[in-house]
Amino acid sequence: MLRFLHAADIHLDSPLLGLDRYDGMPVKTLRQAGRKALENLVNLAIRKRVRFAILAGDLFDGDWPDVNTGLFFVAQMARLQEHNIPVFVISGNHDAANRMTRSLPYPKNVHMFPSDRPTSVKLDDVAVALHGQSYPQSVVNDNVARNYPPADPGLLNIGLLHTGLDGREGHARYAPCTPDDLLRSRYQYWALGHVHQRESVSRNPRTLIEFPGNIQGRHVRELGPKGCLIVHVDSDRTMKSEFHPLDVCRWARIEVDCKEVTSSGELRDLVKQHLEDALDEAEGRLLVARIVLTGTCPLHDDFHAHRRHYRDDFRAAALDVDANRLAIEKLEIRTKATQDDDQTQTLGEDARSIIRQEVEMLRKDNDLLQELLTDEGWERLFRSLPRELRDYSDRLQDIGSEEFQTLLERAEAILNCGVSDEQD
Amino acid sequence: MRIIRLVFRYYGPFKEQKFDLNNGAKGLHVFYGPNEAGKSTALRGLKHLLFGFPRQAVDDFVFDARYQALEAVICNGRQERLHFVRVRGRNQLRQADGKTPLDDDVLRDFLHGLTEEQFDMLFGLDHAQLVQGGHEIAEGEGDLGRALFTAGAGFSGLNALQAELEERRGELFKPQGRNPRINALLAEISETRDREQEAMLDIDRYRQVERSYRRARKQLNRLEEQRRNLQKDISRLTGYEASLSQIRRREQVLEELTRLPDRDGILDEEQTIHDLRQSLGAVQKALKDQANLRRDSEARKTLARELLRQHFQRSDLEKAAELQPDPTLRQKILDLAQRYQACCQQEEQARQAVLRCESELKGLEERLAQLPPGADVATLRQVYEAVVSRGPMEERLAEVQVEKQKVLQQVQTLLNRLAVCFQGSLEEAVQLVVPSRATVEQYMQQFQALAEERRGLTREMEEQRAREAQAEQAIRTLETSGAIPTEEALEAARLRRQRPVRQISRALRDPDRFASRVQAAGKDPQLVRQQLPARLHRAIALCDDLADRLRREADRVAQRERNVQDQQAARQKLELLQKQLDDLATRQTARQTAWEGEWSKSGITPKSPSEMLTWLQHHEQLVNLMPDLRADCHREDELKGDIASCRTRLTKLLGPDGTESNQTLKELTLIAQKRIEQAERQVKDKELLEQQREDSRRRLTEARQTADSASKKLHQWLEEWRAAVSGLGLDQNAPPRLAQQRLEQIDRILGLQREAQNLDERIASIDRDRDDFLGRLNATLQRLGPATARATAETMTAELDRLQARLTRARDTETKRNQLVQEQTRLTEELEQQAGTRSLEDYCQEVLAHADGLKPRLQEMHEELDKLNKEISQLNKKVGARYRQLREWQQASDTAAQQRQQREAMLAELTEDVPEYLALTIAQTVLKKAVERYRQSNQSTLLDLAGNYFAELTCKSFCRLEVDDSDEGTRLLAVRTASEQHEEEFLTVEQLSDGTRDQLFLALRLAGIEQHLARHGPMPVIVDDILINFDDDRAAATLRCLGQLGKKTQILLFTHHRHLVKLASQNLQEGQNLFCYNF
Repeated sequence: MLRFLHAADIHLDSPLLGLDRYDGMPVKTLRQAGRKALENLVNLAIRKRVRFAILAGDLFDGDWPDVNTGLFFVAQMARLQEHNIPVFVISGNHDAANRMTRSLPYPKNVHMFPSDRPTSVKLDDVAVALHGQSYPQSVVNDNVARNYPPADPGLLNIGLLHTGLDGREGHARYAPCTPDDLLRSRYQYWALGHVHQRESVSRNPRTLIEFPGNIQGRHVRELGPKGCLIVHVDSDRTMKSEFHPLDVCRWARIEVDCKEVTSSGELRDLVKQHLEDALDEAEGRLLVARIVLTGTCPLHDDFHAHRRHYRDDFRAAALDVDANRLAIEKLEIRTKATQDDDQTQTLGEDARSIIRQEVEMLRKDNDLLQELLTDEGWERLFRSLPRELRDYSDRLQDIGSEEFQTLLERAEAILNCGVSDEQD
Repeated sequence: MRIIRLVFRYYGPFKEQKFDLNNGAKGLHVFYGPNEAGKSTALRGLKHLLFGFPRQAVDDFVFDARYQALEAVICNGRQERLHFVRVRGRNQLRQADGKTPLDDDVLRDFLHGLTEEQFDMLFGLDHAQLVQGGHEIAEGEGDLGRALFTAGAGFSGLNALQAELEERRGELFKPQGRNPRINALLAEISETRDREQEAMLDIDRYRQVERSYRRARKQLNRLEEQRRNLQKDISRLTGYEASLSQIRRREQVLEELTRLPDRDGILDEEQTIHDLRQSLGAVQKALKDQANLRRDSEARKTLARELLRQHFQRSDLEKAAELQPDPTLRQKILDLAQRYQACCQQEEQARQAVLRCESELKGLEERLAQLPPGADVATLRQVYEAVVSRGPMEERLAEVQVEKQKVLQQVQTLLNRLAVCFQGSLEEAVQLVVPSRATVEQYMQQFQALAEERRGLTREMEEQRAREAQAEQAIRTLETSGAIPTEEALEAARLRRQRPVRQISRALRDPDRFASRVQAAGKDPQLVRQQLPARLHRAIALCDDLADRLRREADRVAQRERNVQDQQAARQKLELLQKQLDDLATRQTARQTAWEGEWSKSGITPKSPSEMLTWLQHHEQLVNLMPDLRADCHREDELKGDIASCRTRLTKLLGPDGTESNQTLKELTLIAQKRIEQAERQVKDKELLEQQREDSRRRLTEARQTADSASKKLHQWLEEWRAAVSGLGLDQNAPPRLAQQRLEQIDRILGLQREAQNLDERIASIDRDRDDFLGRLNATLQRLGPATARATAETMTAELDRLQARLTRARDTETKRNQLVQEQTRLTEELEQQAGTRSLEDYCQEVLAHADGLKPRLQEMHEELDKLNKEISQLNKKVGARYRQLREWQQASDTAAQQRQQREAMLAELTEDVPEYLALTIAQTVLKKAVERYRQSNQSTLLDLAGNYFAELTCKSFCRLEVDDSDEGTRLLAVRTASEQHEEEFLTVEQLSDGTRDQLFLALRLAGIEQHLARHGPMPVIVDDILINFDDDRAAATLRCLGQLGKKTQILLFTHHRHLVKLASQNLQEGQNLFCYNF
């Protein structure tokens, strides 16, 4: 029985995003996650004795020129060579932007499809033809799948394509085509890349179209198990793809309903419970969790006003649960204040109501924005922000932006809390 | 909203504590209670009533929190009333019945939608707030906005909040700072970015190094090739240099070889000369010994002649051999001399042996003659064996007798036991005919059954008698506690009642007849008629009484009835039982007669069946013992007969000797055994002695034969000896020793003669050896050249030395030649090796052709090589460095990636911190603007209201409040009332005393409340002991102010201080705008 491995979007050495460091965090595991996942891939290929491996684009981040990263990839490919496993690679949009991808000293078992036109490689011993094309640019708007060579009727035809198909959320439009375009090609297997979420576009065992997803989640939007596919081909060319997780750390978004919560101690216990549950599902891996507080809760203002305190509290809870296997990425507050409804009916002359009225008035007050923007602190801060945060600061220039409105709400919560604290 | 009634049903220390607030009248409501009376609890209870219980239980020290319940009646501006109850648990809010849930919104509507917090801010007033408010105004330096906001919005933590916001902001970021979190992060991000760049390897650099490595590698290969060629050349020329000297030396060797002389022939004679030299010493020594040998020879010859003359009187030594006798004879004489001694010894020993045997035989015959004659014991043995074969008869007899005795004892015992109803002898007892065991057992069962039946009947009779007695006792007991009415008595009474009834009816129906009949009875009819009703009454009363009692004492009646029935039943039963007993006795007598009949045949009067069962057992045992007894008697008689017969026979055989009449059979047997053994021993001794005598006779005969033989041998020897010695010329009777001496003398003479002959032979041999040596020497000299002179014994040594010297010279020459030839061969071989495939000659010519300028050329080439080596070394370093660099890169360091990861981590932190900073800034701004806006919209009304209150509170020391509007802000000024001493005075807040500032705050606060009430309608104001630090004047002033405010709404003042209640009643009109309550 023929077996081959299909992976994509390795994005080697791409950093884990949104994850600040704190004492007790299992830093070492996190640091090595990306590289370790690639090693896992190679180990899997060797262990499963695959005939060949396919990497369907985006080996590296487009803006990451460090050859050290490339050389690590090369070393891993060399391990496959030692086991006589050829690797078929097409470059993706990120690779196209990265000169390094083309210039690395790949070992002989790595076949990089050229970028000028689609070409084919035949493996006579297993009657397989691989068709693919690397892309020279980071933006491809053509339906390149149409130009792929016709299927060889005597062979198992595998197409390698880096594409966003007809559009996938969170992914740049890239080499657009439709599943029907692909089905028309009469290839038996389409090894796709580009979309980081695993997806079986066609499950027909005689025509599989698969996105394996990336091999290691890098931020809270890349949730759940990440890995590659091992495709088993029967003698009658029916196929079955089998997902194998390769990720070292796993991302989770843990929503905690705070409806019943009245104290931070209770919340901590509740969060702990959620963390334990989530950890049970992480298959022994390190779990990076975002805690999302939801529901109507009397502590809403307190969450905003003492956001850091709560986050640290949850981190401590995570250390309690399993210091080696849990990290808290961030605290996201999506709760609602219990008094929201009431406040519309209030007499509006107490401090809290006055503040609320003020905030409501300022929501559309461009003068306030201007006043703030010319505040020495803001001005200085905005000027010294690194470029990664420029977007954020730019959006704040618009009073209607979600970012600014969020800040206003947060300010109100802080004030409410200050007023309440005083009152207590 | 106003409160009409408050009820603390179960709360804190209160149970059903009611406060009717005068139908919800506006005005000051003072709640007084000493310490611990529950003032604070009541305050809390009020809030819980309005806004709900907190999740955690409080004030549950008397009643469990679960049972806490509060109740109130309130009304709103539209005069609608709400009567509600607040309890713990789900649906806290209930209607007046305490059960039906009440929608929260209903109450909330009455409270204008206020939350507890808002209510506290707006309508709560306590001492701490007052003090803090005073501080707040002072800290705000009289800023009007702050002061109004603090007082009007009821928020007294404005300054603290602003300070906190500023502090938190400062912790995050400062425009000029380094240490705040964001500042530090920004710096760190920048550093990390630098480190990342530093650790980063771009593809151009990698490719450049890789290319450089390949180029250098190629160049290195080229230079190494060059060096290899140069090294080859140097090696070739160095070879020429070495070969050149070899070629020259070879030529020299060949030259020397041609100069060497030819080979000397003496070398062929080397072995001969060597042999001669070896022999020379021996020859010379032999010549020296020859003189001594001659002397010895002469001495021996002289001695021999002397001996010859002395013993044989002859001197002709040459004929001495004749003296030597014939060797056979000589041997015979020697043998005989030797045998002589042995023959003499044998003859003597034989004679001694004969004597010994004769003496021994004589001794034996004497012992035989002394032996006694033997006795015959064969018959005794037969009888003895017969007795022994029968075994120990006397012991067996004793055993049988013991056994018999035992049986006899048992029999006697049994006979005694049988004696209870039988007195006959043993034989009679055995002959008795008795009933069978089964019959007896059957009788026994019947007897037992009858006895059992009797016991049962007797027991039952006793029970019935007891029952009868018990019933009787019970009846007696019942009767002693009063006569018991019975049905019978009632029946009798009723019957008696009928008589007067009948008489009356008769009297009424037919009075005359009645009178006549009475008269007939001899009584006065008038009297009887008069008595009739009374009699009827008595009879009826009796009946009634009995009936009543029967009914009343139904229990007792019934009880008695039961007992009487019981008694009768018992009596009947007893009679029945007695009959059964009589019947039983008859049956028993019948059985007894039958029983005695069974035994009549044996003439025995039987005891009870069970006893007779034991008797039968004993009888059976006795009968069973009889065969044993008889057998024992028989065996005893037999044994006694046997023993007597054996004794008689043994006594007869043993005879009267050694036996006594009373000896037992065992003793007699032992005596017989001893006799038999003794007789057997005697026979054996005699046989042994006779055997020994025969042996002794045979040995004597043998010894006599040996003595004869020895004597014959000695005689024969003498004959032979005489014959032999005559041959030696000795006398016939010469003893063997003399003959031996003669033979020894002959031997000595002949020995000396033989020695002299041997010595002469050796002398002649030495002469022969010398001549032979000289012959060999001279022949050699002859071969080596023309002989000058022949060598003699005297010159032979010198000649030989000369030959030796010549030989040494020839040998040296040959050694030299060999060395030269060897060297030449070696050189040739080496050169041939250098030449390789070329011929030696060609090579030599080639070398010689390059001979000129070889050294300087080599020098040049070595210099060139050095240069090349340096270049290669430099290049090697370069290649090594590039290679190491590439290898290092192949380790694929993740430093840059890690820096990037770290940077991302810090960016993540920044995305947390920056919004927080911004939000804090916004919060600050919002707060500032809110305060300002509040001031703008409330300044005019509030200031007037507050001014009035302030004047009142300060007892007119101050008359109003003013505003100082300047660039620095809008400030509050207190205007002191003009007096005789001074005009109106404007004081800033800082200039006011602490107490005055507190009052200023209170004035603002009351103004705020009043304004709120004016805008939104009444709401109770809760005042918690604000007057504790005020002197009486000011407290009175404050109470008046509260009274004034009380015109607009209810003011609930809670206090611990009784004098305040008094003060209030002095300053306000109780019942109109003052209402007091006690806990």
